[in-house]
Amino acid sequence: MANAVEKITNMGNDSVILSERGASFGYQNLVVDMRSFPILRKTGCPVVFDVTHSVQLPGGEGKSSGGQPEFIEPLARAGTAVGCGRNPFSKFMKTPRKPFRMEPTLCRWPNCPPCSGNSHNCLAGPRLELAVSLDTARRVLRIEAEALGELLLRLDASFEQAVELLLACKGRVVVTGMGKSGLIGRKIAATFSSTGTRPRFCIPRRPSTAI
Amino acid sequence: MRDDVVLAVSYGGETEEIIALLETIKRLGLHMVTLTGHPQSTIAAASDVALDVSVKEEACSLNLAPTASTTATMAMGDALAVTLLDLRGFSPGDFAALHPGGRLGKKLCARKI
Repeated sequence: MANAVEKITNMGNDSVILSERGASFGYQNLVVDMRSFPILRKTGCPVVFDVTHSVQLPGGEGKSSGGQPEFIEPLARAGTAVGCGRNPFSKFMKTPRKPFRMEPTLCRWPNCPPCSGNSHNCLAGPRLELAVSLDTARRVLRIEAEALGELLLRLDASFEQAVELLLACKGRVVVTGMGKSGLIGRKIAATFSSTGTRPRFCIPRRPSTAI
Repeated sequence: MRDDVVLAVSYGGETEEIIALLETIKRLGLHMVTLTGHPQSTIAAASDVALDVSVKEEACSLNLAPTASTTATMAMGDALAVTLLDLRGFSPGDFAALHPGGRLGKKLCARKI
């Protein structure tokens, strides 16, 4: 794939996105080799995963392609596991846009997530997105929990020095910060005030009056 | 005012608005504690104590929006607040005196009656 990328970039196009969409395996069958994601990523190009294409069975229904939509979810999850999913556009699946008012048989693609055919939205789409969004939520919580774990391991004498300074404070603890740090500062000030440390939050805008 | 201690929150440690205050803080002889993700930054260097709240990565899919770093900073603030509470021997009664209203205050005040 590196050669293909080089061929395109040599022609002056630097906007190359690589797509994993399954490779032919035997007759009327596609498989996704999960090794391809780290391999494709080595080219430096963004990598996307066309999940619904990957479950296609080319020519599987005689004169048209068949599909195995039951494997969309496991493949999407496997894609997340190998790191395809950090970017909101890195995994996609094709769903009929407006299946309502159509006969279910007309709006069904053999390789699209199962849909009721009479709702405004394909039912499987949101359900599958929900499964993937739980993965995202788990990742966020894991990263934040790990960040706190590292904070715990790093605690040292500087914390004691900080406590010593704050404990000796006879006036107020003037908390200051901008933007999100300012919001965190406000929360810290509020917690100080609930716990016996007298705070004052200051927006650091006017040096002459802030302190 | 001269008895105050400054607690600066700056993950990057280069917040211009805070850097503009550093001279005033120094002139007034105020002690300063900083919560920062960059212990080598300007603000950290100007502080008496810089507490390192750096995180390996943000939880944001683009590794940009402050998410893990704000959680870490807030948790460090809690660690300071609770440690100070313990050292001061702060009691539920003290908490009730400061918070007569609200659910927590009511719970504590009702216990006293």
